[in-house]
Amino acid sequence: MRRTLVISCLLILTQFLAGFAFAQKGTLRGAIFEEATGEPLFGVSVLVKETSTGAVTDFDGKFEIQVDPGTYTLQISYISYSTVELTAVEVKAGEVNVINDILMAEEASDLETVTVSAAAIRTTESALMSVKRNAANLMDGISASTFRQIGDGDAASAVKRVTGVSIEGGKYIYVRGLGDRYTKTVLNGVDVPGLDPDRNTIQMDIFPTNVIDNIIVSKSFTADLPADFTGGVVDIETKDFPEEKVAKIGISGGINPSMHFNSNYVTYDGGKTDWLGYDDGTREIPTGGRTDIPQYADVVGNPNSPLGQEYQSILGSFNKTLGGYRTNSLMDFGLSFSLGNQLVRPRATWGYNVALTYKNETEFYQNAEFNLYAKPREATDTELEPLERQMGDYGVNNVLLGGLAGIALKTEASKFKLNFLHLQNGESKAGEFDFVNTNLGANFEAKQYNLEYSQRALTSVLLGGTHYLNGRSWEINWKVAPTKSTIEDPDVRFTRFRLPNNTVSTEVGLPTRIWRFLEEENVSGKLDLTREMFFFEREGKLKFGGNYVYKNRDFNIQSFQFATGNTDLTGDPNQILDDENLFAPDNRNGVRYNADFIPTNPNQYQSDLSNVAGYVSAELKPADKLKAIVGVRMEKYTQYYTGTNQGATIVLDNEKVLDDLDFFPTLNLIFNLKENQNLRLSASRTIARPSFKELSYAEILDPITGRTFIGGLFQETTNGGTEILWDGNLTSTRINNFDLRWEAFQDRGQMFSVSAFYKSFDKPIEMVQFLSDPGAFQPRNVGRGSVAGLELEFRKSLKFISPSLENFNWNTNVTLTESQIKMSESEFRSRKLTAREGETVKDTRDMAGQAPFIINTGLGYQNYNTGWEAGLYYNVQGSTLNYVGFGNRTDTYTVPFHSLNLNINKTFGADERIQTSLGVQNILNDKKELVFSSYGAEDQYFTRLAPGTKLSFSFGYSF
Amino acid sequence: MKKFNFLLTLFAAVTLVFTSCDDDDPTPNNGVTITGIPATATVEVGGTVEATGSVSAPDGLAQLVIAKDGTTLTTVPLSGTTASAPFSYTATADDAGKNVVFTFTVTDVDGDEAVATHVLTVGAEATTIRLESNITSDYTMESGKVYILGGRITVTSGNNLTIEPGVVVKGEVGTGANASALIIARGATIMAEGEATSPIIFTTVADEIMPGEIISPNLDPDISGLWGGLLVLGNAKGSFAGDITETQIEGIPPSDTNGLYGGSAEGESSGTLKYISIRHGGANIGEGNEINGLTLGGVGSATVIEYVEVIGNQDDGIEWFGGEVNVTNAIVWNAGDDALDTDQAWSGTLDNFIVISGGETDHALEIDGPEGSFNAGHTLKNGSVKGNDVTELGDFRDGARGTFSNIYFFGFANPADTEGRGDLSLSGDATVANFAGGALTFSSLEITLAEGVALSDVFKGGTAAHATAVAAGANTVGADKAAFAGWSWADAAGELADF
Repeated sequence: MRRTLVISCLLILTQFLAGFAFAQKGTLRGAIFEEATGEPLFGVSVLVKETSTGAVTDFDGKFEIQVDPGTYTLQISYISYSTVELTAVEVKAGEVNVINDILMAEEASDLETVTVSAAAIRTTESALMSVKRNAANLMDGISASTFRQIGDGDAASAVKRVTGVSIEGGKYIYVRGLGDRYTKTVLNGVDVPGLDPDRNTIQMDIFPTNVIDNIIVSKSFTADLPADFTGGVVDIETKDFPEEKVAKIGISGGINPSMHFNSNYVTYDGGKTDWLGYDDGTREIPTGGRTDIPQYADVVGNPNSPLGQEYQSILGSFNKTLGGYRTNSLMDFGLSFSLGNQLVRPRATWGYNVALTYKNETEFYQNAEFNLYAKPREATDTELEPLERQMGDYGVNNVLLGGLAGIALKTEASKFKLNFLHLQNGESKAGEFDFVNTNLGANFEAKQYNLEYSQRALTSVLLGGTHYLNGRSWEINWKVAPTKSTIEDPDVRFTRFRLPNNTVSTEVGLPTRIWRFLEEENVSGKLDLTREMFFFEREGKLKFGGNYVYKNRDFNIQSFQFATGNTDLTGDPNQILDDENLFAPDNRNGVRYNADFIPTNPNQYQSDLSNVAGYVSAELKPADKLKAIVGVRMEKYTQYYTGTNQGATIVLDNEKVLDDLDFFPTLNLIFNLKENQNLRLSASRTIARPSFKELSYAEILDPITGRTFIGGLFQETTNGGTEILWDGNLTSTRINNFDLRWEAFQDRGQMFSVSAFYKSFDKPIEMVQFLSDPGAFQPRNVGRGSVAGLELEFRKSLKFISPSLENFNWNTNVTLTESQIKMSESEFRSRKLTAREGETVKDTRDMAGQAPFIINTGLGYQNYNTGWEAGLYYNVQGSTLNYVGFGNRTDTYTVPFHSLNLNINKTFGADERIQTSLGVQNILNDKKELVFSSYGAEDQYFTRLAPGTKLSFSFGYSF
Repeated sequence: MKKFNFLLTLFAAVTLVFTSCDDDDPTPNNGVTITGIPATATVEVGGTVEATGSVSAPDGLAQLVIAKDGTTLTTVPLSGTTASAPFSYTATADDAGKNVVFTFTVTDVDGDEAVATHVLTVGAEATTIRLESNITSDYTMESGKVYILGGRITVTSGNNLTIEPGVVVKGEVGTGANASALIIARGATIMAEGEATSPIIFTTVADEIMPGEIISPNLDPDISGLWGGLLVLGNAKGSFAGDITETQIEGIPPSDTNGLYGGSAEGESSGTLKYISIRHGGANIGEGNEINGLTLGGVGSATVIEYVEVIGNQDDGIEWFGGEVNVTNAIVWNAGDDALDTDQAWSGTLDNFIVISGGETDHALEIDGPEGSFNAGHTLKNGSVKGNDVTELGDFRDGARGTFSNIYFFGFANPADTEGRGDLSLSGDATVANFAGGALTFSSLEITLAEGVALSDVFKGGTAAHATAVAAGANTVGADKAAFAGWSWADAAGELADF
């Protein structure tokens, strides 16, 4: 249905386009900004010197002039500003030349004219840079032009180029080493629902770069931003009003010699629409999700009863495939299409934008390792002992289908925007592993088969408007955005045969099948009003507004276990469910299902929240060189939960679990030290709130990992209940943030900045293991935490070495952090109890996920004359605490992954109509590794994957 | 005889709703109304009837009187003009087979009155009683009756559960987190004293067995995993990973603190288990997270456990987690994993036991060592163990320690043909060191070997020195099967003939 919607929108827009004939003249479009503030300038006169035709900029600082083909000089003038002369402006018949980022400075003394050549102004990072330089808060970002240069295919890989940003697990964004709980992702400035039941943030890999205009990361808080972030708020802006006609088709591909065209690839047969990123129903639950189905114990004594027959009918209708097979793997490929234009009409300008993207990627990991190690019993022994070792091969096929369609309308004083976005992603996984268990109480070797499918979808509609009253003295912005996201894991299958006799038992784990479903709906509304006014006799702004967010999440897991009774098994997973093995009147001890969710399903909850916010913020200049943004935001946040504990002895029925009213003050100071040099200072308070399932009495067993999630409202006591380890009173975390940054900007996008930051966390929430059960985890407030850090960023042209290196840029950003958290009582105790001889145990440690350093550095080359563009980029993140160890389990750390990527682009033909690129990813052929680390012991692998080196290419044609 | 523990409960609460009165001059002497009380209802003994009456009196409410068979149960003073009165009554054994008449009389300030009548028909006293929530006061399961465990039922600390001879306890259908089980929490006791002629049976609701029967009329003895099991937890010491003092038993999430066991108590008693048969249990929670037939976690030495049978359990038959309790006269038949499993430095003795391995039995004896730095060993003596092609005699591992004597094995496969099935092995350096150092000892082991098998093929790691091969039935050590005669299903099914 949703796909149909996108396609029909596309059709309508194409028809719209067809009715429009292009003039034979050429078009010049541009945008003019005030250099000091980055604000668009309204009413600027733009004159084509040679023809004496001209235009005046609108409220966006934009202008458009129709002229005959030729080369011109533009004279741009505005009262009390230095006139700008733009030379060598080329105009071609029927084409649009866009000159963005024309900056005008207030004139110093005499009437002076600044002359710039048009070639010097390009849509590059400098557009974003001017936003960044003038922004009230600390921000960094990456724009579409950089995605192209680096060759990143999705938002997750692109955003990690931004200072202080890292990506965990290929999906989750960390800003300044603060993940999940402390980093917020918004789409076009409004809240979007998450796609992971266990996290607050959205999975970034679902956004193809094709639909993104830019990604802005705000690291300091201003009152108009949501208050629930600490590391940063990441705003993904989808494509907007195109400046010129864009029509482009592209194909891309990738070959990884270790993964593709490999005859050993593991896969399984899914549905007919897997290639489109969704399941066609093949993996549907055979019971239709019913919770009144008969159980084995209901029918074992009476298999011929109606109930018994129903049981056998359900049992027989489970898909019989439990294992994959080996076949040849295909290479990666992708298709993209984008179309956009603006149509100037007498009273209004229309813009439209359509982008479609399709990617089909295959990964194959051989000899992948997933292990569990623990400390030995005796404190005198240090070397870690294996508990579980799993090694094998698995194949992943990932399909991403994305569509964006937008219409924008600009009138004299208003702008409207309507955007539809749908993203569809399906990931099919099949694996075969050798499993060795040497854990206490269970010693065995086994062969393990995994089949998984995960499908994610996100549909978002955005309607927004901007209105100007009294020229630009009032600006009104509003947005309404309903969004729906779903993540479904239909029919996750897990089978293990114990060797050598190929038996199935509770000790090795029974064959299990899981259907997991999460749906989140979200409505956001936002209104911002900005009034230009004078404070201290200098220009300033007063901004105020409100924001409303409503979210509703449904979560449900239905899992089945298949006991095999006295069935003789061969070790072929696909024979387990053979008809002759199934429970029947003459085979009562045969293979049967047990539905774990009857009568109570503790793996099910429904939760909603609403957040009503209001704010006032003033931007003022108390002194000539000082800009201050002061503000306060109020958020009233309420969260409701419906769900039960395992025995259904505690039932919450739409119970209010969180009701916070907070005020968040913020102060940002910007000292303009000298031209293009700022010193920024900011202080603010923000919040991190517990998630839906954390504030609950949930007891959710993950059938795959065997770990149990325990809601934060339960207590933990020890010593016969006399000592309280956790009081069950989970609250939000309040954070104080301080930032200091010095920054200098130079021409052609060169810049240099140094930042220092400090954050203190009051009652941070961490996942804490139970002292009495290392397999159970609970969110708890732990002692105070803090993070201090330094960031360095520069973008420098190598012209300073030699003029011949003018086209080379060296970009680097480095983040260093030091974090500390006071352990929970139970963690500290457990660490003392299991300390090795000679080990000293402190009651503080690093915050989980906090990288000690992140380095991004790269060399870029750009030559507009020849159409060559290239980038060689290196990224590394210091060894980071990943899972916090407990009891005899130790901490796991990431091993630095040295990522070195090369990307080369070349455009050909008239007007650069053909764009090609070639890339090499992971040139160093590094491995992705996580290790168990313990005092005096050799590190042991927790996870070890070899992603190999990938060659990728793309070809695009514009028309 | 008022043994019956479902006492009369009466709950009447009144919510007052004040209605504002705009009328300056209310008309005097209006009537009174009562609605919402059903005229009739039918329940069984132990069943509860619930109703909510709505009363109103424009002149002002005065009181509500609720009477049972003419005797006033309660008088609730009222004010305001409207109110609602929730009412709940649980039928007692005394009500069995009767019509109980309740009258609800509401009066207003000037004496007007309205009466509603409710006739409750109470059925005969139930012989099947369903338990839906934890046992939080002393409770008795009476002879001749069937008790259904509606879920995970715990006898909480400070309380005692008495089970009279002949009682059948049936676990409700459910697996995973829904597995039904009976848990005797730390500080609680169970007095389940069956008799040789009248054992106490724990089984599944799928089992049509009734009090007085020993053999299931409809389930084979190898059907397993239909409910959880019986868990007895105590405050005795165990050796736990990370050297913590108490820990959570498998199968119960740690948010349910009734699942904790271990401590430092010595000589504690969790009660008595005598002549009990546990069948068809072991519902699986997750990998490494199962319920055993009889789980003994940190159970103290004053607890009496004798004459215990576990049949067709999907996981282990009996598993000890630390503790000091002694067990005598135990029989395990058709265990899905291990028949007898010991962990966490259990320091008691198992005397006189029989294991009959089934088609899925992994180890007859799985003996694990301590998990923390506290060390203790246990004793297994006078046992007879019948094997199966897929079963190992015993695996002694992770620093196992203790004394194993006078045990007779027969019916196992040739380890050479079955990749090590049918052997008794010492796993891990710590176990080998304990054996060498005397912390793990074997004596007077006997076996009837399969054809062509040497003693040392079966008894590995030097243990063969303590074993002797004997002809079938010529054993001089082993269990005294007379202890299982009459009350066990294994005996009734003729399974003890080989012993």
